[in-house]
Amino acid sequence: MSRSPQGSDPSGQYETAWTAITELIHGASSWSGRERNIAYLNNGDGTFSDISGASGLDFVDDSRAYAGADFDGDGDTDLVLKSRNEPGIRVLRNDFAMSEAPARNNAIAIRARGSASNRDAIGARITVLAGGITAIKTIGAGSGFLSQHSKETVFGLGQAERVDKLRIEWPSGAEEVHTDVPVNFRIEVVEGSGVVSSQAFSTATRRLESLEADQDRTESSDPHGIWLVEPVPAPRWRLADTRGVAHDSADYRGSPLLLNVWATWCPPCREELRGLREHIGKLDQAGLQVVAVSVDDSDRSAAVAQFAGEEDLTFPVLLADSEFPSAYSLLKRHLLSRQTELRIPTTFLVNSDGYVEKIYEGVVAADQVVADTELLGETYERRLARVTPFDGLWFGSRPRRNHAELGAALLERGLVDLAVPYFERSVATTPHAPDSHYNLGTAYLRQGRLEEARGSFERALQWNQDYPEAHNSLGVVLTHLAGHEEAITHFHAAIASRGSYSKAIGNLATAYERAGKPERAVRALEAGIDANPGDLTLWNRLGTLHARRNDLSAAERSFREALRKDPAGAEAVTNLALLDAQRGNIAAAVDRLEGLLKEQPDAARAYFALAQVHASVGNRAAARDAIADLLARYPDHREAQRMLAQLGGTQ
Amino acid sequence: MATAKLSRPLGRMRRSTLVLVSQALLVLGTGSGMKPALGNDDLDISYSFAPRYRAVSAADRIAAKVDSGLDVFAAEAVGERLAKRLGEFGDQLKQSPGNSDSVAALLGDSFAASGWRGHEEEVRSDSRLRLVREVALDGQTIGREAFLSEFGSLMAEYGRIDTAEFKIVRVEAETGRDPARARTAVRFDLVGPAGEPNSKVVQQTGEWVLDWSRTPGGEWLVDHWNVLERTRGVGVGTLFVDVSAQALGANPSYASQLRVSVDHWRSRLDGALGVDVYGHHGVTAGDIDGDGDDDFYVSQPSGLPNRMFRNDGGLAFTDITNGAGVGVLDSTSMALIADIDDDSDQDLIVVTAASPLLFRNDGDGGFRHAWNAFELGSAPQGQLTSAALADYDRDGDLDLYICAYRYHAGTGVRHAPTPYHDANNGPPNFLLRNSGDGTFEDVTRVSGLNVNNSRFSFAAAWQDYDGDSRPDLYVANDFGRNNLYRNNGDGTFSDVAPQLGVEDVGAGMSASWFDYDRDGILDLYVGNMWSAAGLRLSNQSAFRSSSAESERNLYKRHAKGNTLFRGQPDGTFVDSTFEAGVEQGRWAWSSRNLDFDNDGCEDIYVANGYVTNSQTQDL
Repeated sequence: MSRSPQGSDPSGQYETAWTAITELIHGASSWSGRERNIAYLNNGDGTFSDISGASGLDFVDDSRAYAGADFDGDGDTDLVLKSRNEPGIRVLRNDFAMSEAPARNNAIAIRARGSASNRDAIGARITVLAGGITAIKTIGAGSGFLSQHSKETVFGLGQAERVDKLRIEWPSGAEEVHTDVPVNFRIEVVEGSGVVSSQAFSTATRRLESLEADQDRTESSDPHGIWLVEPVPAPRWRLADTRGVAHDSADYRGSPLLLNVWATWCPPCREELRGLREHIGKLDQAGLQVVAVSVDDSDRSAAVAQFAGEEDLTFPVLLADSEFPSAYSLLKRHLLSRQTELRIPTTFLVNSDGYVEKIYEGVVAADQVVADTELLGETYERRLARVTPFDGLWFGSRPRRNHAELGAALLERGLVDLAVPYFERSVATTPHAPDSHYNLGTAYLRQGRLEEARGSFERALQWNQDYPEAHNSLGVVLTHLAGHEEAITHFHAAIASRGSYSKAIGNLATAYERAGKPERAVRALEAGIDANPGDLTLWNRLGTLHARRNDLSAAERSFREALRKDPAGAEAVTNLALLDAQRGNIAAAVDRLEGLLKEQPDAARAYFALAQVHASVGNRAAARDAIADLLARYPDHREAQRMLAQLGGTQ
Repeated sequence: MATAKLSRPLGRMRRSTLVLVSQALLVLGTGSGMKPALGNDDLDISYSFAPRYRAVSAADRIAAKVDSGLDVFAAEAVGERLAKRLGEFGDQLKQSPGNSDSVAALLGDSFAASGWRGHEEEVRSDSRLRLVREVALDGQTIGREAFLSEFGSLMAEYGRIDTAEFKIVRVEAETGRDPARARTAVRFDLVGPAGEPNSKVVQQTGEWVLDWSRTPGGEWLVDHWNVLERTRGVGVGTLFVDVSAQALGANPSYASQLRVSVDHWRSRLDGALGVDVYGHHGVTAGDIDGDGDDDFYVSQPSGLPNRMFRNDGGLAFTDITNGAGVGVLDSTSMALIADIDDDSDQDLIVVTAASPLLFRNDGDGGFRHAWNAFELGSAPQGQLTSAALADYDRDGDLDLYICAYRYHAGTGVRHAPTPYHDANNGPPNFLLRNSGDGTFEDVTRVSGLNVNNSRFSFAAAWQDYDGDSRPDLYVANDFGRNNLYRNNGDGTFSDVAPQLGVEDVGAGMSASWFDYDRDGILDLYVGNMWSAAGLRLSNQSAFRSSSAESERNLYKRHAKGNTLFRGQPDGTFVDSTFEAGVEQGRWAWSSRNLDFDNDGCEDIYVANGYVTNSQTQDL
């Protein structure tokens, strides 16, 4: 991150947005989808006409590339079109140029071979004079996007019946002119030898029908099973069964486990469980443990128990907690490139080390599972061969899983403890990658495991000293572990790496302040502002610092500066209101905050400020109202819930 | 505390700033002839349930934000409402083109129209295609009944309408919270078979300006319907016939591998195998077996083998991949076919996302991978994209230029293009010089091509544009400026794009050279992004209102579409895009010339569309 040439993204929002949009595209979102390929016909007067629809070339395939060539040798350019969607390939025969005589346009196709020049005559410039028109074309290899077209050059001649002159300027610098060129022929010209062969255009009867393709696809017997190239740790669970007995995934290590996710309201799920029950002997024999986790709502546990009883399910039937569906849905999402939520039934085949090796979407048959159990624990090479659907050859590095991706997804969703094993796995597989250590450190920090976090950030810095995030995070850890002086060193290093790093500048100021050096804190913020005058966060922090030091007029100047730069800035308005309150002007503070919230009802911090202002003069009812308003907008806001409880209110 | 960095490759992303602030509907109607594989592989035997996540993800936050009208682009909310209304109208036309009720229902009480009565100007007329441009009479205003009659005669051309697309390219609305009046510019495209039973296809395209007002009941109606431009084309028969099944169907790989969408594999294979959502895999024509006709090679995603097809004549092809030994499983961007080692047969360069590979033709129907053919100064630091060959040093063999797009994860370089409109944090491209025997050395630095070499490069095209017999090089870059490297003749290059006016700031993804105006001077066509939503948003005054005007113009340029540069006798270029009318290539990828009809004039075909998925509403 440190080498960004323009540090114009102080908050990281831009990068986060990219990442988020990427995630949306990997899901089910469309982006400039359903667009039609465009065909422009040259009107011959410097303008073009859109004939996409009339030409039949207006496919909506998410097309990427095409190769033009006279594949059928009839003297016009056909196309092979490559697209993202089905059909991935189309062969398109040109019937446009081949209108019936006498309207049929004439042409000449030239294949040039270099002697002194490169064999393919790439770079040759060919000029054709015919019917009073001069046309030039050049021979290339690679143009458009991801495409190479034929090196045979087809010159359309319109109604001209003879070529007056054919000139070839070879890449070597040699130049030759031919006048004896037949029309409607494919000719081969060798540098220095002239026309060495010619062949009339093919006039073979053209099959005009376009045939619907045979859609048969060899489907495997296991269409919904997905083997993994590299197994992943199954997220840990601790769940109660229908009788209230606790089960822990750790206790299921040592033998393979079939982990089924189902719900009572899902008929195929019920069918599937009956099937597993029926064949439980077979599964037993294969050494498989079976566990079914119901994702029914918690008030449906009686129905789950009833079903398990009626069907005499002999394997544990567990009740999902709030974490399980999230964790396994994220797991499913991040195992496939097409990231969609988990649907049920889905079943995970977990090996004896607790790693998922295969996923079954939809109802799975016991026989299939038994057969698959045999294949657990094979080498990477054999798994890769099994996963790759067709024969072929690898040349570069083999595909590996990026375990950190799933860790980051879990972390982002607040499942910190579940995320850690993936980051640990990532560090184990790529021990020299600074990002792996940084990610793991971040997770440790969120868990409160400060010593381990410190180690991870230090290792990240060992592999990349110029890593501002790692310096900043290490600084944060050190403020707790080692005191402010050491932390300050790292905040400075972070800022030296990236001058626009607001968070590090703010942290540096905080560290100075806590170290009893408020003047240094002010200077740190002022230096940060000098380097990033547009960074409102820093102005607000500076104002807050002044306010804490009771320099209210300096504080006001800072907040006003922030407000001047962004008149709609909720942060600055909120701060000014708190300043009013600090000066004892409660009415002004309330006015200011209520005005702000009328304009920007999403400004969460303003609700807290309002509550704080009310509470400061003992008006707990009004404070509670402010927090209740916030909760009406953000029902899950934990801090608000806590504050409401402190204020003696209920939700 | 910074959150963990995702080190997943981002693929090709753009327009982020726009997306952050607004949702935009791009396409309103959809053609019934459209049958894309939407990757809609959700299993019908399974049930969805919604996990309750503890925390909201960044993607969810963005998804929530892309509802328009929540932000400063108030007009966009109106635009979206009107787009929806026009979409319904398109659906009605597709159901029943002759029913005038659907258009009548759009019209307000005091309706008027203009530009409807014009005279026809024939652009072309032959046995395959008739093309007519309507030239409107100035200022002639007609009332409701006359308009309905005009609209009816327009619809009478069709027996059925398969495509009814209306793209709102500009929207203006009254200021204020709840505007009651709006004006839209609408690009329309109506395609379908002609009335009587024959094989004609009718296409009408053009631009309307519609003035709308909102009734007290909240309904938007058209007060004024002005035709800016209209072209009518009638094609006889299909001008290009899809013969894929006959050409390829005998090969099992056609149904099992080639037809299949990228999304199919993304739903069926472990993501770690690396099948990427973006589908950046190309196709290459060349005479592999030296029999005088062109064969082709298809590049495929990671984990799926590339495939080689031999032309057996008569548009029948045989899959010879396995015998030829070229079923590369590494994610492949594109391939090149040419004689690399001067033994008079055609060799194969496979540009995988990670590195180039050379396969030498052994002259016997097989290819042999040549280890260590490429000696790179440093390993590619980003995903490789397009490549192109030329003999830049005129020593009689072919040299290779390769584009790179985005830094690999873990390289310590910011992924997201920065700044968006002029990104300069891309990995270096390569110039590799052929030593004559099919081994290549890295001359990027000594040739001076390390200058301006930190872009997100998608495409390269060699051409001696200035007629000094030395191949020059144009490079199209996403998120910013392109390069034109002039060959100095001494083994070095100078980037002259700014001087010659061909930087073409934008979302460059394709480059090709051809003489479209037959003046004997080569012209340059650059693939970019034409986005109705981008045009709408970037033309509104709230858009990046705090940015400098020049920067705003760069953002606007990012949505304006493909560019055609006309070469001048003095070696400079003039942007002739709008005059030629070739900008609306949509989300364009390969955009290149070919002469469709052998009339001697270069036509253009644009492959386009980004990611079509099961959700029809576009980001």
